[in-house]
Amino acid sequence: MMSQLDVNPSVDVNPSVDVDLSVDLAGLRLGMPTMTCSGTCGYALEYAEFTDLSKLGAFVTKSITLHERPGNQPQRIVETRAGMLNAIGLANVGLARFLDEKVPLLETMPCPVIVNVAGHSVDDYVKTTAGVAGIACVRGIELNVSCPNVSDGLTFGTNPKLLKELIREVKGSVPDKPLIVKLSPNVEDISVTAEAAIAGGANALSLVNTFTAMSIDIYKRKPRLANVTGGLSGPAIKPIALAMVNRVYRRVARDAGVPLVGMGGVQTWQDAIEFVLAGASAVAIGTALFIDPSTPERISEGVAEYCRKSGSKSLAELVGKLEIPG
Amino acid sequence: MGETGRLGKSEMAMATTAGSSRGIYAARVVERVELCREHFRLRFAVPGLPASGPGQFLQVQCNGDVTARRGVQAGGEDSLGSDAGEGHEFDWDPSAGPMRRAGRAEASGRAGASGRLDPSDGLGRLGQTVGGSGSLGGLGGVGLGGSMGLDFDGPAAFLRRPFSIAGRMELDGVSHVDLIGREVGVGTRFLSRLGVGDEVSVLGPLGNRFRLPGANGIGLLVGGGVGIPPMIYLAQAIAELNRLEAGERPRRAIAFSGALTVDLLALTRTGNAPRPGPTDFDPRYNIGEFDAFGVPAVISTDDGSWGWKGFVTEALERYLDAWITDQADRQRAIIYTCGPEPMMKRVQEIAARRGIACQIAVERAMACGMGTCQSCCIRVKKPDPARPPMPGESWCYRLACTDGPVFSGDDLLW
Repeated sequence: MMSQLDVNPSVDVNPSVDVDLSVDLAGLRLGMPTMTCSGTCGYALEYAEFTDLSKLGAFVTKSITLHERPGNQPQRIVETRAGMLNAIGLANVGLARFLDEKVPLLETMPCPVIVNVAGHSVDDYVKTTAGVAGIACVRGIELNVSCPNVSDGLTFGTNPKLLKELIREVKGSVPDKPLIVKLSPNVEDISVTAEAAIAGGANALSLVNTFTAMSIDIYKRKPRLANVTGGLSGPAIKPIALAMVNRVYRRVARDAGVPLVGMGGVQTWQDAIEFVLAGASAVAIGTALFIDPSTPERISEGVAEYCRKSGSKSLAELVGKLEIPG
Repeated sequence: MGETGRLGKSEMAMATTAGSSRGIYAARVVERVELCREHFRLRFAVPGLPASGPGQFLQVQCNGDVTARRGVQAGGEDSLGSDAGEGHEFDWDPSAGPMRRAGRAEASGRAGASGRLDPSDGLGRLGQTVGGSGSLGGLGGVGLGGSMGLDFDGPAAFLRRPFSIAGRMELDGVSHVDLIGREVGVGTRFLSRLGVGDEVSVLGPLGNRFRLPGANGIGLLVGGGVGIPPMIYLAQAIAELNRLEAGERPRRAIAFSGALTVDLLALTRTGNAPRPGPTDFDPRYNIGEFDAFGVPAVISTDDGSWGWKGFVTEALERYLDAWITDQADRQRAIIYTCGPEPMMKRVQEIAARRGIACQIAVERAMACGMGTCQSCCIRVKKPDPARPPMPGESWCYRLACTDGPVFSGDDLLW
């Protein structure tokens, strides 16, 4: 009984046909095409009671910074229609305590671990990346570049020149593991920052991060978030994220041979297939984990069934297979 | 790990016990009771729900994706739909592309999917001065009563809503839990419209528990508005512990519950009305929920429409000054509180001034309940080696969902 999966009951299905869902993420092999989005799944085993973490393609940690950060004052989140805003402020334990307290937990993670690194200067990023890059269980680094640079106030992720320089510096401290750069959607043309990231040495791109947004309490005439603005995530942003993934794929990533991790409102296997057809090699699930931490597993099941029913031997062969008329 | 207890696509009604592992469970409404003008109580059968204790909460999915399949036979094509999101893909064109989706009815819920924005949601939130502190309340929302500062944007609830467990029993080998809600937004509106037989997905039990009084101890259970439910569960737990210990130096409990007015009191009055006015703070066995566990209650209403006229905190103070005066009694007493934040702050002061231990179940805007979204932070006094202190400060943030919701009154800085 699989009504969720009945893509087309008229197609003869042989469930014994095995579908290869694995992903080659710039040399890192993922058994499943699903990752977690940084900041929605904790440091390590927070969801271990609620889902089978071995069914994940990769686990991406919360953003780690060089020093501890308490984060923003509450209120830090607001629910919106089909999504939510957050302004957590990169609350995290910092590199030293991450190494002491969280890495031992990550060593038991039954899937590849990718550490997300954030900073407010090139030096921050380099030091933090260098601090985690040598750990055996850390299989890749993802850079959160949606932070302002303390020296000039420019956001790394929205300034192509700054972004390229940052990635070039960081790549030097992680030469033998994939460096994934998480792109901000808050730019005029995301393919420009994508190009800059690749030019700087990014091995893969994940997109998109949250959209800058706000919510107002009309009775108090005040912003609902203490930080005034926050990042919008959830199904509300999926169609925009999808268009951005497709744009980056067609304009930059396909020809450069750089794999994309599609993220932004992914909640169902249909969402995942859309991202794959648009050009993503894998998808990452974020806000949906708050509602159901087993979402990635269900998505993988649905994706496999879609592949079987469409006669695809592997998910990889569907990447970028969007047919654009004309 | 995670193999049992979580809901698979087709196991909505078959979630099994997973030892002590928490997970996602199908909860079926077996009873719905209107408690007062605004509050309702839902009793859910939740097969396999792991052990829980007072103070803990459940994250309840309050939208049509997973729920409200009253009357739909298992085995029907749309009896699943446990995948959030499956019901709301409006942009699928079945005629396009190489494949067609089989036509089938959407399993979207009856309630909460009206697509209508109700401006009263926001007003309701501003005006929700439930509880003993009456006019002081408002902003903070109601204690784990499903609002948590989120419950106002429509048309459908996206995130789960946290609800304190208001009681728990095993009936015919199946766990049943009570949740009490008040319609303050799209999520609670959805919940309020559930009927017997409807199913929702619950995640939990989450959070820590109240520490029960020691042998011969005295528990003072101070609840305001939707902060009352965890006090009912606490009364139950204290009674059960006493029964377990078979009368050896039993604990005593007294409930103090407040509401703006009697029509908003989310409790069942069973007669023996106290004399109205600011004189009668004698505990009486006149509230069904507490009486069931042998716990007398002091009820206050701001307008004096039933019981003590004034704030519940004033009734508590009078009681303490009359009855819990010597050092020995203060030592064995614990004041428990949940409700509007100004009320809880006042209770914290009252306890601190008298040197009485105080445990506070806080409410905070919360998305996940599992320690990952980091949204439900609250300041505590003690620098905790496990939490980052603000540079140069003697406080740190802790999370209401995993470090709480119960905090010691000595630690909490809000």
